[in-house]
Amino acid sequence: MKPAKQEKQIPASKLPGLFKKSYTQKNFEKKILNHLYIDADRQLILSLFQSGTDASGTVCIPPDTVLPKSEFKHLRLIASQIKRQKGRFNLIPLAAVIIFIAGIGITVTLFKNTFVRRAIISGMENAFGAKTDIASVQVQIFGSSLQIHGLQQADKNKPMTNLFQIDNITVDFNLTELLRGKFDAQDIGVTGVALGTPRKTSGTLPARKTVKKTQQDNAFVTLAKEKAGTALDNAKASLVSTFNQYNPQTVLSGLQSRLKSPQAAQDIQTKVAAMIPAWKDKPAEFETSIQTFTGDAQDLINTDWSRISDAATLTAALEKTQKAINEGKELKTKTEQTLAQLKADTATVKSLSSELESAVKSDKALAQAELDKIKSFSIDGTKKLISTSLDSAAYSALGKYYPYLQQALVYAEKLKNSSSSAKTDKKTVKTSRRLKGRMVYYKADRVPSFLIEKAEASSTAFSIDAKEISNDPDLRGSPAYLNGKLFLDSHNHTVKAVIDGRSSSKAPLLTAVYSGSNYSIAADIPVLSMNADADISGTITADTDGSFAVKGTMDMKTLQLTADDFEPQFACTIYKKALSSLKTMKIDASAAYSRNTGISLSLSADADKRFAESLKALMNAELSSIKDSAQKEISGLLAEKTAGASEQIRTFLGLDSTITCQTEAVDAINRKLLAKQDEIKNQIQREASEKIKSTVPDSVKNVLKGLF
Amino acid sequence: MLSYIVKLLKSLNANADPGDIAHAVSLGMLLGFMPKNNILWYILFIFFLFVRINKGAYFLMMLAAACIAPLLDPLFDTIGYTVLTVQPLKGLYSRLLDIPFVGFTKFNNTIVAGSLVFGLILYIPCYAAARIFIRQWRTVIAPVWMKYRFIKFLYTLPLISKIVRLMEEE
Repeated sequence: MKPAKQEKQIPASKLPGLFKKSYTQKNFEKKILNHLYIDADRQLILSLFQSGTDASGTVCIPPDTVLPKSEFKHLRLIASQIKRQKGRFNLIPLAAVIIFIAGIGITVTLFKNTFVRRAIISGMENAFGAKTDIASVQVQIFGSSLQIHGLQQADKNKPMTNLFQIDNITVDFNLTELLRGKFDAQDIGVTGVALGTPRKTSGTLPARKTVKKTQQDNAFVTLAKEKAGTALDNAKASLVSTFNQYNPQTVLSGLQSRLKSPQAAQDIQTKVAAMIPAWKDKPAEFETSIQTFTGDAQDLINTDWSRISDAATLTAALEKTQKAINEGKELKTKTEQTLAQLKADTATVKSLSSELESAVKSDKALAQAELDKIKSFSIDGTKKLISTSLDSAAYSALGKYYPYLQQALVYAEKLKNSSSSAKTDKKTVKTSRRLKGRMVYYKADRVPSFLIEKAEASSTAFSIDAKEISNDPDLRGSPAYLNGKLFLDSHNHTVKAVIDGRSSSKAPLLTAVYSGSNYSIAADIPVLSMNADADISGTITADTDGSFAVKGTMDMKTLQLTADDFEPQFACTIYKKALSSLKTMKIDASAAYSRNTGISLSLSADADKRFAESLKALMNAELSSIKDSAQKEISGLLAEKTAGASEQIRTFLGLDSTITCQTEAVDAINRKLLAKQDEIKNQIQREASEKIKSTVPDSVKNVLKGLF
Repeated sequence: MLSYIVKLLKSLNANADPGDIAHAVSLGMLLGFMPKNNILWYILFIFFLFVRINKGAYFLMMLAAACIAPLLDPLFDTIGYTVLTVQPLKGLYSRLLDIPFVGFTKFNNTIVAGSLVFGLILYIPCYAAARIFIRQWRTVIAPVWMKYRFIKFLYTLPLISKIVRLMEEE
């Protein structure tokens, strides 16, 4: 049988320090026995600790004690268990965590300004598409304040110019509300705002892909464009009708049924046109014959026969001359016969011409009588001429600015709808076995998730203050107020707006009162171009459905009115004169739009009456010359209408005169030929006498002399 | 879970301060009853980690309390509402709510407040009961327990023997 292995023995000197010390009875209980909760362990310890030999009454484990290994290990375990019972808190890990939290706090404190600065720059650069510079940012978390100094926002379109520059922005916010996920700006102050300041460095950002939005005209803009076109047509029509009574075309149109000359001209034209073909080739025929005859006769006429002494030549010339004379007589007879035949038709045409002249004369008298009926200028059509002309410009302006109003309404609506109460919770709610419980508040919660209680911004050029801008006006129980003043290039603009998004309110979403002075007004429509400095005041109300109503007054100074040229010229000149006489004008306007009723616009200008009176005076002063001018124009128009007949008459009478001239030309050549014939005869006689003298003796000459 | 059980058993059978276990049970119960959707729970949870308590008992009790907490929610709601609407304390609560970050504790929620108050009320009774149980365990139950053959058989099972080995190693 194998003997049992003896357990290893360990001296007590190797025990943990807790068991090597000597204790008074009190300390022994306090430091060891009170920490032992297992009876067996307690008994073990009590058995090991023995009273010392000295008289102090201390207890300890005798140093020479030897313990089995298992007991030794158990005592080490007990010692460690007793040690663990020291203190209620584990201070070292606690301190480590406190240091870690402090580290986070220090990091946030050190870098919060940098982080916020970068966040603002990034946000603004995304919004404006150009570089943003900020000199410094100070965030005070527990002070609930944000300060931004030296903010410069570059202009996307002008990289070396700032869109705006702000020296200081201070935002005092409610930290408690912010920690609840609500932005409550109790006071926003903006000072030192400057616009369009130059930059030292370019404000261009690296190119990014931008998605172009296709802008489509909405129903209102389309309607406004249509209305502007209609108003412009009305203005033109009004202007035309005003001067129509003096328009020769109109006068003639009115007399159309009573005019004689157009019909007469047509008849005469037809008749004369029928006559012309029979005669139109005659002058050409005669011309050819006359030219041949003239060519033949010209040699005879141009020769100086007195120098020719040859009898044979002279005799031959005499015969030629006689022949030419005969031809000439024959030609003359032909032309005279043609003329005699033409005479009857010429008489007919002359008679028709007289008829036409008298018809035109009669028509002119009729038109004159019509013009004479106008004793003075009628202002009936001009009473609203300015207002009607401005309608087009007003509709165009409404079409131009309505999208901005619509955009503002969209923003207001979006802000309103972003309130927590308006949101539909799309998140899938985690199912929890626990009840949600009830949140107990001790003040009415009047802070929506976005709220600016008060904001002010000012510079030398403008000032803005706003109150109660929130995304849940129902919760605030108050509408948002916005007041602004802008002084720019000698223009003053003041606006007071109330945005009431409360569901219980019957007021429109937007009510704004605007007044502006030295406003530069320019309108360019064909019937009325306008430049003026104006003071404008008005009220606008608009609602979320896109409907709006505007009522306002425009007080224009240094007014310059003109218009494009139009016919008749005299009317244009007088119209422009009358327009230029207006130096001031006050326009009262009201406009409204809703999907059901469409656009309505009403304009009344005090200049309407003054313009009508001015126009009347100018027209009356120029009435006689206007009538003369109109009469001249009417004459011209009648001449145009009878031009065809007149031309035919002229053509026919031209044929007569041509043939007459041709007859006279033949006659003239004939006379010349007769003269030449006499000249040749004389020369023959002279030459014969000379010959006789030279060949016959003197006695015969004397006989001959006696004979002759 | 196993390590928590081991830690608890080890503490019960060792010279661990019964106060450590009793506090752990009470604190575990307190946090177990409270809903976890507020920063107060996490502050208490982390803070209690640095207190010398028995972590096994702490987590096991927290788990157990969390299991029965939904059943007690109507009670917590009633208690919480009563506590939060005590007239003399309304001013204090109101001022507390105005302090930054305090809102994250959701102390003004009836379930949070009710469970906290209920846990605090039960703290001392629970502590006392735990101490009594530990004393009984160490003096009566454990010695008797070890005498049963069935228990001795259990100790031979692999899982139990592993637990025992772990306990001894620690």
